[in-house]
Amino acid sequence: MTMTGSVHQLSRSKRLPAKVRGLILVRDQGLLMLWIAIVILFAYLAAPYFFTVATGIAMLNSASIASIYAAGLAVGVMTGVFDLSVPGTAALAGVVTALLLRAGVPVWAAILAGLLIGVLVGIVNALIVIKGFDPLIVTIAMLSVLSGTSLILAGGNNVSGLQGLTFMGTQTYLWIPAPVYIALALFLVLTVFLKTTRAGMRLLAVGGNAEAARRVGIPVSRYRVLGFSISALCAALGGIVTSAYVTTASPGASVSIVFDGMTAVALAGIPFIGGRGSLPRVALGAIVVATISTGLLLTGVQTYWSSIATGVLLVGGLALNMWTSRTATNLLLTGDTGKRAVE
Amino acid sequence: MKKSQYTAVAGLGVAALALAGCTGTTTPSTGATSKAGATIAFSTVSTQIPLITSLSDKVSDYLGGSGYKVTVQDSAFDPVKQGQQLEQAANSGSIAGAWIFPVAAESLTSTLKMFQSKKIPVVVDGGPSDFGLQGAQPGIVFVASDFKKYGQTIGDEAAKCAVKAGATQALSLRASETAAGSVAVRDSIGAAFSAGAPDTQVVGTAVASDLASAQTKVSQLLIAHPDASVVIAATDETALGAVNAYAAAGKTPACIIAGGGGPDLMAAKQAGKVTAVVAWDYGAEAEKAGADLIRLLSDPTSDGGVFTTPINVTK
Repeated sequence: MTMTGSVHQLSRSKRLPAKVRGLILVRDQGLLMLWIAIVILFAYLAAPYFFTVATGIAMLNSASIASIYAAGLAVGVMTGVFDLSVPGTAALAGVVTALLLRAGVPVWAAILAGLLIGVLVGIVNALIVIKGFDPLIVTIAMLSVLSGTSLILAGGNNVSGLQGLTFMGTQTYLWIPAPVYIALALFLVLTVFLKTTRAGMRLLAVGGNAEAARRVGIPVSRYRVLGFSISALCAALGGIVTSAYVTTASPGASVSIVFDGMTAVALAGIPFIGGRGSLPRVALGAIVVATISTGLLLTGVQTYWSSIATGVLLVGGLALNMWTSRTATNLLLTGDTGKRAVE
Repeated sequence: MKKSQYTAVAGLGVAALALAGCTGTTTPSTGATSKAGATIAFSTVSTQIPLITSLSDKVSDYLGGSGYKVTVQDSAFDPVKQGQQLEQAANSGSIAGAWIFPVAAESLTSTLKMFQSKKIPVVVDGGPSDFGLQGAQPGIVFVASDFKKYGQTIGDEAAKCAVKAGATQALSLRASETAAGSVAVRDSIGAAFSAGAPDTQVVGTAVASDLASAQTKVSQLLIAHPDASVVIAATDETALGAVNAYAAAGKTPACIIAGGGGPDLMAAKQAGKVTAVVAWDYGAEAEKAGADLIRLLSDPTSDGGVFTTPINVTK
């Protein structure tokens, strides 16, 4: 039986074989199952503190800021861009917003300026990359430039007293902290954009196979600019929300942002070759990381274990994704699906 | 003789004349005259730590007032980078002296010996034994930080406040234990607090290196331990994170005792949000060690002083 024949006949069948469906379920819902397992574990280990509404809200709040950065990184990865300048963009956007607020600029204008800084950084990154430079090197260079710039602007010190931003930091609305709403809105907008708009789908197409996209007439460079801009815009938003949360803008670029964000992206099973991915799963990935961190904090376990657990999860997530994809492909190609997929 | 050689000879002549003008009793002003305009490298753990930035500013102010130029080298928490930067600066002849806030003291032993061989005086934060040396050394000013005393002072202040407030629960916050002296600080805080306030239990501990994570962790600990009213914070970031977390939770802690002393923490102290701040007195360190460095710039073969950074308590 040829591969073509097998796939062709499978496409005519109503349902995929049970084994393949099972693997796809593990791939798609494995993270949710993992999260539920972690919640049950800590509900027992950290009783009676962990399994409460208040802790749940605090955990969501913690995950929401990380997920904003993760969203930017995820959009970047889906569109074939690994943007390492995210921490620098976040620091600069936060510092610029803070300095403008301190100078008496209205809150909305300061926030807008911070976000525009993000878009500008994204455009500059993209314009350099489409000249043929390696995106990894370009974004590392940009991280360096942006870190230095924000340290110079802030004079090496934190810019504190940002009480004007508490409405999007520590303020709660219906008992839920503002960053949770911001993250929700961002994920909703980005998901709708990527899944339902022509521009979003083209963006994914460019990420999946830029050459193929070019051959069907998609202006690849334009979509590269768009991908970088969205990634940097999310980073800027994350920087402003972080500054609002702590009412202080720190000029130091926190590289851990990238690690935490990439952990969420990897847990979400987004392939680093681009082209596909689910943003809601990225949000769940960020929640998983926050759950582990909170659970270990409340059980009184040394917090260094949180770092180890995150690393193990990262590799585990990648391994699970690779195993499910390969096994499902093999099953489909060989026809060894537990039942006669192709009669 | 080439033009550059003439210039070198002329330069040496001017230097000799300047040195000839020095009196036997070397003072900071005479040293400053002899090397006025020379560059001192300030090598820091990281430029992103406000507290160390404030030390850098104080050193720059003090040495700048004596006619020296201070350039800051950022080690970015990398001991290898710190050693390389210092050795490059010394080998290039671009610096007359250095002030080093080590990332890892033990890794700088060979660098210090190289500085001694080149007769470039240095101030180092740490005692001689931290660098594998014994006693005073030619060309090196040691400024040791007594981490045990520092932690004990924080623990004592927290215990006094907890007893006065009748508090029964406390939170203990600190930075990563990879930071210099952090284990000694942690242990001495714990010992002093449990001895001074035996009826107050530490119900939650958290390690946080930045403001946002400190705030998040304290918020979560407050949900689990809503009666925790004493905060013992070993760093600026953890103290400020606690201030924000309590404010966000609509609670007022009985005591926040902080170790640190950066500008934001002192502002929080002035605003009444922090009960007491235990801080290294970097201003006094800059003056005392700075004066000794200036003396060594004129006489790099003489022994430098061995000082201890004073500790201030602001209530």
